[in-house]
Amino acid sequence: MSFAKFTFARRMVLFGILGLFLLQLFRVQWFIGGLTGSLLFRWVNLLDVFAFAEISLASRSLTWSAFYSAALILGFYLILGRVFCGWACPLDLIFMLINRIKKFPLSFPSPLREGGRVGVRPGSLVALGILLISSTIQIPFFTAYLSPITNCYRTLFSGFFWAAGFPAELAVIGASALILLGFLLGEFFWPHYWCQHLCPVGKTYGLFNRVSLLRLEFTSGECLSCSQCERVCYLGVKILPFSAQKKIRDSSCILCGRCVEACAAQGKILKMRFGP
Amino acid sequence: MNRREFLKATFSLGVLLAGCRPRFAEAEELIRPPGALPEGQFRATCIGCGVCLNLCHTLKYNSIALARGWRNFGTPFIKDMRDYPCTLCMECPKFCPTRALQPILIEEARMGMAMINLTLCLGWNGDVCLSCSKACPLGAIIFDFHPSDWGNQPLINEKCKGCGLCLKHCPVGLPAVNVLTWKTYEQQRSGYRSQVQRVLQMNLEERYSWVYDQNMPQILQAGRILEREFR
Repeated sequence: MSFAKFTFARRMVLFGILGLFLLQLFRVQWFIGGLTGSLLFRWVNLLDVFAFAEISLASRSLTWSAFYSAALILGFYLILGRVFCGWACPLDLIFMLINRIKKFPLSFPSPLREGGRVGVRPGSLVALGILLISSTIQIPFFTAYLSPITNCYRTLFSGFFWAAGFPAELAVIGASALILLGFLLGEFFWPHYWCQHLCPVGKTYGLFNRVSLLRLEFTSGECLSCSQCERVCYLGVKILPFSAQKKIRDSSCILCGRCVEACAAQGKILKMRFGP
Repeated sequence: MNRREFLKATFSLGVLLAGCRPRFAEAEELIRPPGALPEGQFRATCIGCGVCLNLCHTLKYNSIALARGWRNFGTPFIKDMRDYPCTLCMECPKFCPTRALQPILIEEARMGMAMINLTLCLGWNGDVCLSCSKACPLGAIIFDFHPSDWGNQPLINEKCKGCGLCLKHCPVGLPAVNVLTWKTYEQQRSGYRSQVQRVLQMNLEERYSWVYDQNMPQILQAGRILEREFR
């Protein structure tokens, strides 16, 4: 396919969301906050589902209004699946740029082997481990400290405030930028590893892929089994085994449409479908 | 690494972190935006999403900054009350997505406690200033006045919300009023009260020498009285 329409649409959505969030720096009250927690049009609060799990465990209490905010997001991704990673997460763009500027194929072997004896993916264990840590130290450890999304937005806001002369802590900007840099270096040396195996936010949204209405599907026509789709898949999904059962129900699929664009049959066989 | 090894590693990490908790807990107490949960609860609930901070910015107050430090990293606090005080607009607690800031009325806010420095305050040194009480959003509820030959001496009672508007409008260079966290205030309370009593009970001569010999040079040194006035 000469025109990568999915990539184009994804970038438009990503820049749209990022732009709307950046407008708040210019005192437009449409999208306030960041991707982990936000306020839209001074009307509705949204809260990341994993962040909600973390604060519930860390504070050992359940706040209903936070629950509603998270339930909105949960409902959204129950319908659309793990689209967050492919369409909204700024890391998708940044990581792609890193992989593009990398001229030499430098990558270290994976630190964790996929599966292990019982076939559990390391990411689920990492997510559980983070929840355990959060409830132990009583701080939403991942979302507040580590999360590259939080740190990306925090660097932007605090950097802007500092540059504009408003109260801001330089140490916070530095620390956030350093953590973010750590993720970028990680992507540089272990390409795709964070998104594929570790990110707990992605893992959480991946759970919804099993029931989501939006998904990729093999439609009519004979698949050539050229495996072009698997080669370009950012998350390393084994797509071809799904050709028998038509619907691709893999928790790693981020619905980015790279496979559709790469399909040798010009996207006639692999398609993105919405419906029950 | 299989599941068992991983769970073992996570468990030991958890135990290690549980051991670290006392150090974490002894973090510096900060002046939080209004409606904040008690410090430990707040830290467990705040995810540093930046809604309060950016809402404050869109309303042109800019009083909230993100804090540094191990335990407080990335959480909101009022950093510079002298230039960017909280105005108690009560927008950030209304819209906090995690409810780390609870939606409350102004009367319930308890951010900190403002304390007038008797040495620097013009109202306690023979002048009529009262800038702080005029700037206070809750004026007469918060201020107790002690009228005397030396003027209408202001004192702030414990209904203070700790917003810091008095700080901004204090004409004395080093602000003669400071907002303390409740923890710090409670440590200083008894000493402060006895100082107030001592000053109120001074006779004319003692008061004269307290004001002119001891305080005036300090006020002049604090400076910037005119250039800052009603900025």
